[in-house]
Amino acid sequence: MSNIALATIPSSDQTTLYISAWAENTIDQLKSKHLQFFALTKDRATLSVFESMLKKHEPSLIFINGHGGPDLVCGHKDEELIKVGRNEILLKKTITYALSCSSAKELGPSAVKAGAVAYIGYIEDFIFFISPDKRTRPREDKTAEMFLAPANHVIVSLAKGHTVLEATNASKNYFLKNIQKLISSESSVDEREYLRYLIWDMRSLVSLGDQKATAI
Amino acid sequence: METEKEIIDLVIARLQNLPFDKEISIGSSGEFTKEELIEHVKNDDSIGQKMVAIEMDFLRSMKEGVFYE
Repeated sequence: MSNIALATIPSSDQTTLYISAWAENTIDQLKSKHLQFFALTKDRATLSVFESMLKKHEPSLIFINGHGGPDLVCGHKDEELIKVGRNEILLKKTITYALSCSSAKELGPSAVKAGAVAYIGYIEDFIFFISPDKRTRPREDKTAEMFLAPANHVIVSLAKGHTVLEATNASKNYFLKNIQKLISSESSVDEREYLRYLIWDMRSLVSLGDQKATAI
Repeated sequence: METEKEIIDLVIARLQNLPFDKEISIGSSGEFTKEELIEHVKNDDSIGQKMVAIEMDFLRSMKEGVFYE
């Protein structure tokens, strides 16, 4: 096991700008832990750089942020990074977490079949709310935080040495904690409307492959 | 047919309750205001159908007691 993690952090539109800001925030907090993170940000989040970093560092953990679909995940400016039938073998011997829409539907199973230790991701679109007045400061957006903090908790948990199953459940529990906050008297009527979307994301998160595997 | 219309009406009613000053991000489809979402539901396109699917999933999750797991 390499104790090295590789993250793709594109930011070519509003959605990727938000998820990337939160991913960078998460990685910053994990720098002193047991994993060494390499982050491919913006125009470095491309297939050629990704392949070269995989070859050079043989990471045990891959953290993908970006757009996706049932059979693929994308990098900067929606360049196809990994696609079913083309190069899912790149994920061989790794634990991958993809904060990306729907990729656990087809790419996840296909990656595991090709030798990935585990694949954690979403079987449906990952949905979150933003406050337009925070567009330039996504990390200060408390509305987005309700969705993106639980989503990033998968990586936090894996970086602490928890298993694939534990990390997935920890993230789901974080979503659930936010859901329970919303149904308590602490939240406003407006905020309670986010409930259905938090539940959607929580239920869409799945882990495939070796549930007992760890990244460190 | 009547049930389908009732579901659409329910989804639109729920979307009308969304905060006016927020936007929803739906992957590569982009960001939408609540007024835009309501139009998509009325047009019965892929974004509108996604909103219906989310509402149906929410109703199922309430029945399953997901809040108190």
